Amino acid sequence: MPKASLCLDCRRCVASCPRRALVFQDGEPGASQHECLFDGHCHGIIQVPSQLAKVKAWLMDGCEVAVSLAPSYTVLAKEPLRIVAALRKLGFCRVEETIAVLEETIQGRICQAERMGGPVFSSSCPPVAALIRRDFPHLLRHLSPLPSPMVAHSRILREKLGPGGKVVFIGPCHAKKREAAVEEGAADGVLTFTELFAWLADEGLQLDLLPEEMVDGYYEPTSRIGLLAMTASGLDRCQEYLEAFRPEEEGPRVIELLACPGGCLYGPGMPPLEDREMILLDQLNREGGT
Amino acid sequence: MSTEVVTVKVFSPHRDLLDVKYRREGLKVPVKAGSSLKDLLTALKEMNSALESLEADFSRGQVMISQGSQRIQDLSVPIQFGQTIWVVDATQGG
Repeated sequence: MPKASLCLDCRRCVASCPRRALVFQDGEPGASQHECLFDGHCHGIIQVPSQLAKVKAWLMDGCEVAVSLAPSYTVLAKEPLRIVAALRKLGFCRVEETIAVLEETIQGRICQAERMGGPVFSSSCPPVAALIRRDFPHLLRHLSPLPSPMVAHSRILREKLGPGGKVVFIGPCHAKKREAAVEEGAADGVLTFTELFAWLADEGLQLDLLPEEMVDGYYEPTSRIGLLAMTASGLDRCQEYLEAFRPEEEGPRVIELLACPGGCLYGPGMPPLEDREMILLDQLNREGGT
Repeated sequence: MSTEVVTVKVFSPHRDLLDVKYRREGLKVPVKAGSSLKDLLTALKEMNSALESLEADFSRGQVMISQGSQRIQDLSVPIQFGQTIWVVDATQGG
């Protein structure tokens, strides 16, 4: 919640919420617990608090802390692998891409769709999963029970760490903080890219002065192209899609609905950037070449 | 009219084209100079029956196609030889 003294009563936050979940009470905005999906697009009014202090404390205490890095990191810098070097400078012992679990996640959902004889909604986007649970309970059987990539990858990473090791997911999404708090085996901490960049600035780490360093484990830049494809994006579009959805009609086996308009590249935890699609395509055409 | 080869990189879990070679090396598709992306999809359909419904799925917004650094909205645009074309039909967020 913002401090009352900082609120200008502009009500942009209220207008920005497609679910009309924000209400003004006693001169301050707040969220209806029933309506809010914690997608984070309300100009930062409703957010899960930063977990940065907790993550720093683990590193200070000498814990082994690994990073699961969401694929949208690739548009944050001209040479995104400098971010890997920065994370190692901050003290993380292992830096892997969450996309390492891409193929098993997709295969798992396709198998599930084939088993049930109907389409499956991916569970990658926590606000969309919450939307289905709250407003479309008749479609719950189509919501994938498989863990999201963040959860699946966190479980794998934790096995690679020693006892007491911690996993931190870093990505564009505020809602992952809530998902991590309730899903068994999920990341122990979640940071947004905005929070990471603020941390780097505090430490005086300049990306353009760091080398490019390879991630640990699986690295296949062309897998990131999936960031540009989705069945529908934006909570209002997802709502419309779900209202019109008829499982018996021909369509994709796995349906990817993403709460942020344009998908995760436009998540509220991303710093301001110019044309993200073009940045991504430029990088793929350069880095993913044969 | 001369024929040229265009590289099409495909990431299509919905068509079981998940093998990384499709998105890393891509498919080499011969097309006539002056062809449009619509012609390319026709050529792809002839190369691999799994790609038959690409055009219909594109029109339903279920396939993303890009050429170079531009996302394509209209299949009538001409193929720009030397630029990579991406055909993608699924994601898992990110």
